[in-house]
Amino acid sequence: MLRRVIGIAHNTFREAIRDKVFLTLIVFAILVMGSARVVQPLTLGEGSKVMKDIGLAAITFFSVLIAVLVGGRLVYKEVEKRTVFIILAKPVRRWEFILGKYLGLMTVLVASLGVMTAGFYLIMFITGTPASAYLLWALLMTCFELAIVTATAVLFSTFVTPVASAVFTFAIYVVGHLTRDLRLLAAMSPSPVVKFVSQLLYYVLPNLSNFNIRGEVVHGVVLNPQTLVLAAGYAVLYTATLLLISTFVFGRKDF
Amino acid sequence: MSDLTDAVISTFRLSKTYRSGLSMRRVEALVDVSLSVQRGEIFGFLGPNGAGKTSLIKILMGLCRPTSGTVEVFGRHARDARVKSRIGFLPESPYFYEYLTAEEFLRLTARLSGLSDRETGDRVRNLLRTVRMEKAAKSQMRGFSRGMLQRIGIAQALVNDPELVVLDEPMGGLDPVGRKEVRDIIAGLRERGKTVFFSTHILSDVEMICDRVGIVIAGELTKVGELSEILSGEVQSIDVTVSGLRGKVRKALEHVGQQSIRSGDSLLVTVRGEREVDKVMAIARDGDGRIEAIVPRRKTLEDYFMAHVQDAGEK
Amino acid sequence: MVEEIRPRSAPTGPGRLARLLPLVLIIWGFVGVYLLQLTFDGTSKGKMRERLVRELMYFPSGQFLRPAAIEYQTAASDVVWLRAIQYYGHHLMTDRRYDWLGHVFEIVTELDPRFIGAYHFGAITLAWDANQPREAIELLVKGMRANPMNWQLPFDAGFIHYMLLRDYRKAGVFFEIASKLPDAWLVTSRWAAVSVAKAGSYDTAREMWLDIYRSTDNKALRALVLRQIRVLKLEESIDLMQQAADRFYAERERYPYELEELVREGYLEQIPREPYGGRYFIRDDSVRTTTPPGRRD
Repeated sequence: MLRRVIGIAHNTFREAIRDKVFLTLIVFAILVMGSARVVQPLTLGEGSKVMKDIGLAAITFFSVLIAVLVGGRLVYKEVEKRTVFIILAKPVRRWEFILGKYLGLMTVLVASLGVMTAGFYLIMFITGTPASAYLLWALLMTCFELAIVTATAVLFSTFVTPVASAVFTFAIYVVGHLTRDLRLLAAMSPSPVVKFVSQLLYYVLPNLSNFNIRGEVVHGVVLNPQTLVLAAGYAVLYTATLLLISTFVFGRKDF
Repeated sequence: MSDLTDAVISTFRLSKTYRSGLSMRRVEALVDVSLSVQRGEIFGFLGPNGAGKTSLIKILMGLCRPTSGTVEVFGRHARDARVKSRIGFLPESPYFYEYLTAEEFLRLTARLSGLSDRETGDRVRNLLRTVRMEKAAKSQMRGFSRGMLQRIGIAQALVNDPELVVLDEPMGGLDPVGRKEVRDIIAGLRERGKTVFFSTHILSDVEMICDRVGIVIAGELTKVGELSEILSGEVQSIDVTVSGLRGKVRKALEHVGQQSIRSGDSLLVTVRGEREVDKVMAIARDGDGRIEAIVPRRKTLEDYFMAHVQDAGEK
Repeated sequence: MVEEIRPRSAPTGPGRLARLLPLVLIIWGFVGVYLLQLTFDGTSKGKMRERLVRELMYFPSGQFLRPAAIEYQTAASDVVWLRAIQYYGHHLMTDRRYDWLGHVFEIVTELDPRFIGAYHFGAITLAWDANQPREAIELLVKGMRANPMNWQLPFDAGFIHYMLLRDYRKAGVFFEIASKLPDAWLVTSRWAAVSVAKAGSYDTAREMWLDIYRSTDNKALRALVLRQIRVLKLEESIDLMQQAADRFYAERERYPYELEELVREGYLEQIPREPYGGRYFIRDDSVRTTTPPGRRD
């Protein structure tokens, strides 16, 4: 069972690594981080903060883009090219297929995050920005966030085209960051319907604002370990749910 | 559980209806198809393009669900994963991960089939040898021709040494040499006690290797059985090839036959029966000609096909 | 006989010129677009847009920008910070009017409530350059709520109360709060005591300014401090000379005709140097300087 999942994951990893979109995004991320260097003299002494902010933002943003763009094609391409026929003709269960593809993509994302982080620390070293390993906590939380975004992309890729999947996944990503504010806003509304709907959206849609600790980390605020543990748990649970839904959708598919 | 009938595949009143998208038009791909495939035989599933062959195969492989009817493979439901390990499948116009080499791909399929790492090495080597792709084993499949892909496709179908091999248009897009190779491989599988179920629209393939044939036209199974049963034994006409003739004699021959084809100084005359053959031979001898060949034409699959496809078209 | 094969003349078909034509058209297309854009920017509508952008007038409030930044609020705050610096620098060089400064710092701190540097720089420039000390205090109070353990912000609040609002009691309270917070300078407790005792002392003020100077790497802030120290020098000098003149009046029942008289008669050691290169003089019983208020930067 595990061998099958890993077999598919490994294959997915190799396919995604070759994707030109993926490589381009990494290059862009490094370029954006480098641009913070250019801006440094204009920041009136806040260059260190700007460098860290931009570095973390770039790594997060481009990782999300990779998840959205590469993830959206993952299952669809196999169906379109009919390679999935061969896989499913073997004693591979549908959930093993989905999990394998998901793990393959997550591995790619973590690897690319690693590369971008290494580039980030290198740039900070070159520019003399005082950098600590503390920043890595923010990136760990980003990994949790990516776990959910990737699962969303995989889910959509089981039943819509890559373009639509990318759009929907990105939409969920954005909304996932707004639900907290929306809920607070809605709490002030007199209409119970509005209140209810906003509550529903808040709990059903992924609440990605749980994973944003960049502000704390850049300003050196002490983190509450409980926050990290709860965030990890939320990510695992939500991801598992999404993958179950994906398995269900994929399982009901007629090819 | 005893296989009383020893049927590897059996379907009962299998139907599949597709709804085409927005227009909600219904396409009946399979209508009440009941057939069974016995252990150890080569079963040819024959029909023109679009007759429903691929739909049936997809249902057999659990890739899609029938609208009604039942299907059992090795006595179990088609989507049962335990059954899959006893089947090898080659889809139509296969496409593989082009960045993998042939060997890497076969290793992947071996792994997915549950082979241990140790078994995999030998198995892959043997398969590459069987399909004569040893030289190309380390090349990326990106540059493979249709024939090469087909051969790798067959190899991956055999990776788990299956009891049943299901092939969808295995001869598709191959040149005569390639087709013969595939036919030989299929025949070889029968010798090893395997059951083969393959679909095709090429009649000669079926004529040459199948034990039994199922003919499907417009979703309906019109005939199932041994080839010789399907075609009547009657001689329909006789082709006589005569050579070395001079003009006058040739004209006389052309009058005798229903039709004639000329090639160089040879003439192929089609006549109705034995009596006309005698006439032709007499004329030829008088004209100092030589009888090259006498070939009786029996009703072929093609004739059968043409008649039934036309009927289906008219319906 | 073998025929000699000669090459035919140059092949017919679209000539070289014709093949270049699409490329030329494309280049001219872009040139045309560029010229049109220049023209548009030159029109009043174009100028209006530019002014809007430069003046930050279209910037929505921080509350709206927060969700728009998805999860990149801190990076967005840096972008707006750079914009704020540009705005400040531009108006420092030109009209010295900072109508939107408060607004833009509100945005920066709304996006990143822990951005101490923004509260600090924002409050001081708002108080002294933009002449909006109350708004400065508001900004600082907002910052204190979001960063209760930071000593710099209550210190700044105390500083503004002491220097501009001349509310020495409140100044003392803020300095007291600041001094109790972690990492606070020892100076803050000193100022807490001093502000009550030596209310309005020039030396205290100068020391406070120097403390601000020493605490920051912010070039613009340091420039501001130097400006304010010069202003202080001017006020102190005029104050000194005025006191001397008043003593002269008390004893001679008239004001001196000129400041040199104060020196000659021993009421003043010397006439201090005017920090802006102007000249001190006395008229209508008041000591003044030739440098007009607008030129005291």
